[in-house]
Amino acid sequence: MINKTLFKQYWKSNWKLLAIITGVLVLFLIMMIFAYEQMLARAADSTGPASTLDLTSFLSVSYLGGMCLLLPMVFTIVVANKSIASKVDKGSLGIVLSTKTTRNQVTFTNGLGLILSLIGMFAVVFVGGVIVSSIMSPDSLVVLDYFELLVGMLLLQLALSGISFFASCTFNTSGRSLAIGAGVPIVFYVLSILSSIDTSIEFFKYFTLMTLYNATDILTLTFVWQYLVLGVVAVAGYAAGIVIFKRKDLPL
Amino acid sequence: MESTCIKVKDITKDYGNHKGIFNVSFEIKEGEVFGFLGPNGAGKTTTIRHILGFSKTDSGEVIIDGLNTWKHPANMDGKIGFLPGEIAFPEDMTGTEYIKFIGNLQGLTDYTRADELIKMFGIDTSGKIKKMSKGMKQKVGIVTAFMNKPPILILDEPTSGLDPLMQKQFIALVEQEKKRGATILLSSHMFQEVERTCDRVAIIKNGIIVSELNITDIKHNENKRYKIEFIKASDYDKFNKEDLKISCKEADKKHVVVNVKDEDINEFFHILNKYEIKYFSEIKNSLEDYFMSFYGEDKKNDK
Repeated sequence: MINKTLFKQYWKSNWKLLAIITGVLVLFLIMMIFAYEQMLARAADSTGPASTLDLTSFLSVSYLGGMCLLLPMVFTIVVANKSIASKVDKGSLGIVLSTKTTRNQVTFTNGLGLILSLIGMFAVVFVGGVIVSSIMSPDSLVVLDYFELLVGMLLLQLALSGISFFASCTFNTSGRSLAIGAGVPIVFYVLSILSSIDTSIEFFKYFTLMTLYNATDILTLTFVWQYLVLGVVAVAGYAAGIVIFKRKDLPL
Repeated sequence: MESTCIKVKDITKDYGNHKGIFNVSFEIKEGEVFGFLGPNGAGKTTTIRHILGFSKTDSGEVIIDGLNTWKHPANMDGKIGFLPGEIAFPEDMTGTEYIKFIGNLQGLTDYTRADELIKMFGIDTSGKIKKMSKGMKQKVGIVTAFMNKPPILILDEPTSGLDPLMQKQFIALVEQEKKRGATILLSSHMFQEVERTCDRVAIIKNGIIVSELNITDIKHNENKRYKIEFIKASDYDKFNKEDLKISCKEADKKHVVVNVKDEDINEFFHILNKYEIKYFSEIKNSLEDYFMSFYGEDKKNDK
């Protein structure tokens, strides 16, 4: 199912974007830990009560809900579309599919590449966070909690990538693939922001996957079913994409 | 006995609005070069998509070497060389990288043929494909389609974007491949290349095969047409009374067109001897004339 040549091509055409996004993620992480230290220092100077916020909780709000949510989404949207739909749209898949390569090889290989990219990205963020915090703010990071938060965010990202991948496999033009593959994750994000602004529109949270990533629940270990749903969405997205791509007419 | 290699069996794909292909059938024998003629939008590429297994038929099926191409596309067995009508490559690869990429997907280990083809078409493969001209891209496509010596070649308007010199090279290449024993489907709207290379031709119009014929029937037709211009009007009038099949007359120009069978050619010359002739020429029966007989009507009707 996995084609070595296509796998190599996946990394060749995506490693730069992966490196840039991962790099920026780590950079923001360093900035956040720095900001946390500054905050602690200011709190110590003032006569008020010391901040009760630990670094892990601080990161879960400032980092995981922000850049760590958005940047991997950008990566997913770009790469998912580029992997399948754009190649159908431009037509370059025609010659590829006239060689011994099968449709399943194309979808499995690119899907695996996308999944591994996200896992790699979060692995770097995890290791980076542990190392940087141990240098800049020793003993303030609860590594296990941090790990659980990242696993939760990774699962959310995999679920979103399942949607983007599904769109890329389903549609024959980049335009339509992006309309769903980028549109749905962005709408989810906007809804999650809106639902947190005002209680009158809090019900929006029932219409977005982002709700399933809840830092408080994760840190109190009541997150199992949310993870399960995210996992199911991810698997369903990838599986449906692969099946549809196998069966549809290709305008090549 | 020649075995049938590609069987297109009564396939229909209706896109609505009279677009699509309807009950298209033809067979290509092993080692045969089969031309597929028709203007843009007639259904050539759609038919090719079904042969390659990219599209599922509404009804009918395409069989290559006994296998349904939708269920088991022939490329899986490494049987296909394909040159698409609208060539597109992954961006940011050089020609060399791309040829290697496709070669790896084909499982190709010996690149001698690829090097021969690169030389034959004078390709500079070192540059990025993105920056190549249309003709150069087409040549790179030719290399990847032919380099692994596939038993079946599907060529969709292969010479589009090539200059006349390279078109000639391409015809030579098809002749080489034919000698090697390849089965070739060549879709085109260029009569010359089809006439030069193909054994048989199918003409498609609005998604329907309107004719299928042997090229030799056109080239070696026993019925020939000759055009004659007389010097004197009196000769013109007298000639028109001869016992000949005159298919076309133009009194003001003193032109006639005569249909003569090869067996009657000597008698025809005896008759001609009696006249003073300004010129005499054979009107070559070409595929183009034949083709136009199907498409010309439409143009008249349109007016």
